[in-house]
Amino acid sequence: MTEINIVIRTADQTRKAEVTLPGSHTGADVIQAAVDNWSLPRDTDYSLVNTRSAQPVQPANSLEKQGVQNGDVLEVQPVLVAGLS
Amino acid sequence: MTDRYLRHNLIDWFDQDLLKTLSALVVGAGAVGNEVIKNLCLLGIGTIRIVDFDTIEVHNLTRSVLFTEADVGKNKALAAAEAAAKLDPYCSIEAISGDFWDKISFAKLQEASIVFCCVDNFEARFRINRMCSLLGVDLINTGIDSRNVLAEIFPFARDPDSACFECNLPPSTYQRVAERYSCGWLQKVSFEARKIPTTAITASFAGAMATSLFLYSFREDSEPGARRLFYDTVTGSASKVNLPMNPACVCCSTQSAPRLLVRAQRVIGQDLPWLKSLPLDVTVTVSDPILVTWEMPNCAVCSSTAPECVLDLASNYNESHTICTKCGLKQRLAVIRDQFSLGELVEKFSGRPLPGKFLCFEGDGTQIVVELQDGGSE
Repeated sequence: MTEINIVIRTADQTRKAEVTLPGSHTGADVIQAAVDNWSLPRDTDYSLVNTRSAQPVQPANSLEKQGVQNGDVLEVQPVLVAGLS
Repeated sequence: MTDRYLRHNLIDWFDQDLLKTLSALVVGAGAVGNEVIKNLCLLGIGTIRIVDFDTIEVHNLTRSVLFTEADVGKNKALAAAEAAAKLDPYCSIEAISGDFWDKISFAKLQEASIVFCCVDNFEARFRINRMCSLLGVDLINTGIDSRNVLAEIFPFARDPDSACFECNLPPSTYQRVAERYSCGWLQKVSFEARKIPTTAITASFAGAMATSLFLYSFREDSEPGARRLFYDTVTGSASKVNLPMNPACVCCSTQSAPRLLVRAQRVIGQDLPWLKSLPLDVTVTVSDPILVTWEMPNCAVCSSTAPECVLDLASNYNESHTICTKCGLKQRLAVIRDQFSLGELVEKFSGRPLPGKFLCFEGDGTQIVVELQDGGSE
């Protein structure tokens, strides 16, 4: 099983971790781990972005299949829904 | 008039004449909508159409640049249009009080060069995105919280294969939307939407980023495809994300090309002449969930009675309507659907109005989209 070394951080960059993960982990796994370990608000949805490729990392697909490489920085961004009131 | 745009004229790529020919539809005239409208007026756009059903409350005034205390209680679209007309008397501004889904016809949407989505919930965004992707009208979506801002462009007009708003949404979004509904897909009576704190700072950033995406999209060197700008107003960190199309997208993957748009009266039967030439087994998908019948399968008193035919928008009902009108027990089962066979529609519901904004079906490899209209309108 391929392992990849990546950096995961929040959008405000107040939380950052260098981790080694199996390439079979999905985008959803990474988001869930970030929410759990960093106590991010659970009433918010998050998307994952690969800052090297400027592409979103899809939650359902593995990191490996989405071309995530050693050294990549994945950013956990909140999905923003407000704007009206 | 020329002097008004003297500084714009010094910008080599700024095409003031083009901007004067363009028309923007702003959906949601709250904090971000105010900023977008203000920017469009100051830039000198030709036409703005503003739609909002909501009224101004006093707490809106800390984030809404176009509203004053005297506007509290007024409709947001009307008040924003009034203030915007003072910013630019040369801009043609129309305010529409009501819900986008009800008030904006296909024709009105197609008149827009751009649609700005400045609403505060996912369901409204789903609908706006669906209409824009279906009709090929460029869409800019915005979102804010107390420190972060996003603006996304979906250039459906120039790039029919562009990703749509739903292509890159996490599945948790749909789970969150589902929380508003009971297991039978009726709205929960007790559900209270989460209040998200926002500020004038994030609203103004969002308005600026959204309007900038619009302005630059008309440059020859503008980037193709859908993309998202994300900005943290506290740290100043920003990112740009290119948004790829998702072949499994619940919205745009079902919209096959080529497409034919038609309008018809919503009464099923003879008033729908386009139905006559189709095979009866063709599947018709309606744009809105429809409450077809109430059934009483578990009620000892009423289970033997025939289901009560409703054929109305499911959104007009909630959990409180599951109480049986005959026995008073909360046992009615709502049968909610958005797909029918053509034969079923004609056989069971002939002569009745089909609720919903539009319906779709496949015919000879073409997707037919029928906008449903009430008698005599437009």
